[in-house]
Amino acid sequence: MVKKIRKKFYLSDFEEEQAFLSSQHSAGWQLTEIRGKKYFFEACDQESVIYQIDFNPKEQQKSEYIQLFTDFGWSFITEKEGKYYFSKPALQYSEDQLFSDRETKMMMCNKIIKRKLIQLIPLSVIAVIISTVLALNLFYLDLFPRGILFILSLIWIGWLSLTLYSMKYVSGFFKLKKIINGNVN
Amino acid sequence: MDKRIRRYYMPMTETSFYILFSLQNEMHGYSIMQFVKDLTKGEINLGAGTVYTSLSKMEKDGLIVLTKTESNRKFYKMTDLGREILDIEILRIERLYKNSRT
Repeated sequence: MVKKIRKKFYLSDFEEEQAFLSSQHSAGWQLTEIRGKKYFFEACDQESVIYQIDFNPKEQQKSEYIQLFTDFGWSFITEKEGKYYFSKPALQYSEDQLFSDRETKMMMCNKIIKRKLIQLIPLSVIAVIISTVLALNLFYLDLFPRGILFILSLIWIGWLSLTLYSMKYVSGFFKLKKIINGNVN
Repeated sequence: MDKRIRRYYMPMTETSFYILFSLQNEMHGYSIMQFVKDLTKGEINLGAGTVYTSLSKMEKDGLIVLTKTESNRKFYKMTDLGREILDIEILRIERLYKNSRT
């Protein structure tokens, strides 16, 4: 039996995503694949399984990378946009995690922060173009009718504020900071 | 020695110390974890992500070098720079130990 769940997790919500996958498994559904926002599950025994995500978008040697995790007892499930999904049966006496110290966990969180900042680049480029056109138009030439420029700027400002002030985007940074500051054993 | 490397590895984290210490002999990721676990009688249990991230960083910084890849497992060994840093760290820890006992 197969089931499909549509769910959106931001990069900074990887801990919630891990918990979600783990709770699905203990309800008898193991993750098999992720396509876009769709998670595909297969019926399995109801077991306690740890799910862990490593964000490693620049990996060049995937098979060596996955082999190391397999040696440590992790099963590789799938990869999506630089996120690698691993699982391992939960043992009572150990709380298994991919990262055993703060330094390396911080390095992973920093990769996520970097990715979040890169997401702002297209926005900044558009901002520069629009301001340039606007400035040229106001002071030197009459390239476009004022009306069109006005509407363009409105659309751009709307987009900018949506991205920047979308609670998710901004709070993601705080969340990552919290993950870095206090946790791991 | 590079200032950046000096700042990052002096002093170094317990994890980095044990990983570098194990690589006095040629080893791959899982055998490093086993070695450290045995050495510390199970007290330090390195995670897969931690080992992988540390190895990548130390390789980039020139403390260790890839010696061979066998059945998808990458083997590393300490370089001269790694040796130098490890020796400085050991001296620092000895001093720390000595001073805390007086």
